Amino acid sequence: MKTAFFALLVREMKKWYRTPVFFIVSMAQPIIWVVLFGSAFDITRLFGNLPPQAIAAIMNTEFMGAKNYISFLSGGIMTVTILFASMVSGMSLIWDRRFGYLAKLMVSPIRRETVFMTKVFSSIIKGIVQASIIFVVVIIMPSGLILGSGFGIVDLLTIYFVLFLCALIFSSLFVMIAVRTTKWETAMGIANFLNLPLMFASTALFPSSAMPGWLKFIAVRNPISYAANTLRILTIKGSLSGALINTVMLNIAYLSAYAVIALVAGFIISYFTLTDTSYS
Amino acid sequence: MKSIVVKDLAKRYSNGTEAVKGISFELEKGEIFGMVGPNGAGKTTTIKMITTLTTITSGDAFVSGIDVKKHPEKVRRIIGMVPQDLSVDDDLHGFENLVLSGKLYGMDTKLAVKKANMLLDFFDLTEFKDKDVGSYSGGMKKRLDLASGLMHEPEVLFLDEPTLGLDTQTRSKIWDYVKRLNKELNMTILVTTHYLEEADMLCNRIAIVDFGKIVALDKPSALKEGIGNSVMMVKVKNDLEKTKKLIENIDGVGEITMYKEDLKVTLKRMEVAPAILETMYSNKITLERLSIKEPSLDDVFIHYTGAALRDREEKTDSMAMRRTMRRMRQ
Ligand SMILES: Nc1ncnc2c1ncn2[C@@H]1O[C@H](COP(=O)(O)OP(=O)(O)O)[C@@H](O)[C@H]1O
Ligand SMILES: [Mg+2]
Repeated sequence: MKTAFFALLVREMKKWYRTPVFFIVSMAQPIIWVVLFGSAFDITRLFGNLPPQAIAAIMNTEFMGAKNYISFLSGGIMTVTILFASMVSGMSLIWDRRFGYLAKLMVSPIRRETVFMTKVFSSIIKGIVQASIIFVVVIIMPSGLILGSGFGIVDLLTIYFVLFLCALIFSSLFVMIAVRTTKWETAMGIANFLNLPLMFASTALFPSSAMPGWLKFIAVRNPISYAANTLRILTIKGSLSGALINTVMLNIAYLSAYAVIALVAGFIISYFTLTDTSYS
Repeated sequence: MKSIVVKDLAKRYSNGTEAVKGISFELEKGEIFGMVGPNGAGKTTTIKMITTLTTITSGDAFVSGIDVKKHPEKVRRIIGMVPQDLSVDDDLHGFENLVLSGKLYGMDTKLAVKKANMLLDFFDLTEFKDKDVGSYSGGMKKRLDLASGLMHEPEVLFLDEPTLGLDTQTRSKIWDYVKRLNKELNMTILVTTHYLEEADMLCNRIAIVDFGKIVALDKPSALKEGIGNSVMMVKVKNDLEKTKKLIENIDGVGEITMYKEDLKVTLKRMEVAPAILETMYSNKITLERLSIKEPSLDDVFIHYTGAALRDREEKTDSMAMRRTMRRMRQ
């Protein structure tokens, strides 16, 4: 049912841009993140007295050769933006249930998975738009992201593919939570319970070398880390060598695996949960 | 072919509530069938089972001959359902809501736009078609919800408490639309309500539901006749005692008591009324005032359930009402 899928996707988009406060907040929030995180946590200031060569050496080993902290942070913030955007829009399914719209969908002949897919894809679009805004802001802001020399269209496309996979994973996850919970409060609780650990037990904000062993163990397996690291390589390093290309490919493979698992789980859960609206 | 066939339908929710305990009925094409009963009687649950919204615990349901359990997706194509709580999207315009509903049924844009405009016209909403539904009144939202359930021209329409929480004027307007739909399109309509007068006026047949069971099912007139006993109040200029004696002997007259200055005559059948008048006329008894009260559906309800619907409702109704009002304000 392509007609229904696209019509519902358009519905989500209209609801998004027609709620100005919500739209502006969702646009402004990531920018505030960059500015706050970028200046509050400018780790390189800690190296104040070190000679420039020493700083460069640390940046090289610990911060993937970023020229400044924002350059390191950008990939992380873009990823985390995707995480939060996925949460907000994925869980809008709960409002659809609460305000009765889900009942309309359920009694119509559309496939139960279509409901899931429209939520996932609208939340991917929203997440990618927000991440793009971040991307533009960090590039144009003073002492912002310094792109590696040789950054090209292939890198850009790869960035977007990574953002897409990342959004697919988290949107599926949050839509799944929304499908299973009837109460907004419960879903919010679960989401917050997941979000902060997901964000901090990752290399989104800090390199893993600063982490204790157990945290590092989790962090390197966290899809956020795969996404953030890949974005970093793509933005900071410029034209990629063979070894880096392999790393990027491997990370994308991991992300794809996560995405497939999340998608299949979401399909199954929606299929079985949305067949019976025992909501009252 | 029957529009709806329901056989021994039962529902037990996962928390153990037995909401419906074996309900059977059949609807002819073009019939308006009412399910009446207090809150919690199981009306919504019955509709949800027939419309594939919740699983059937036991029994069977068929819509236009299609087995609901075996082919839910086929049933969804031919039914329209307007749930108890509003199911329109407040963030979209009225027109957009309808077009989207059409597309859920696979309509192309052109057809959906055409149908949407027709229905907006039918429900007197054309003027507001490009306004946010959030700005609609409760009655307008309900009409839009009705329109939305009709976009795909369903064979059978389910209306769950279509007038709950609406003011009297809006209510009668909604019923007008429903009657027209039924007349002009010969649409089969299953409607639930707990306004007995409305069911009485609108429905060809009524099922009275109580505690998950149908306790009576018939034409409203038959239901009322079934419990018999219309009451005739007579006031005469002449001697009351003499009048009483005269009437007492007529076949079909039950108990006669005094009520203030009037005689309260219980009629076992409506048809005795003319006989009483004839007797009085031929005996030169002058009537001062006369009224006949047929049993109402309220009486029928009391007869079959042992309680007035209003009493049964008191607790739950205000809650449901508040929920609806809250919802409508959003
Ligand atoms: N999702 C549900 N889970 C458990 N019990 C329910 C659910 N929905 C309704 N019930 C119960 O089933 C009974 C019938 O409810 P319902 O069908 O809504 O009645 P009505 O529509 O006649 O007011 C009530 O006791 C109600 O509390
Ligand atoms: Mg109900």
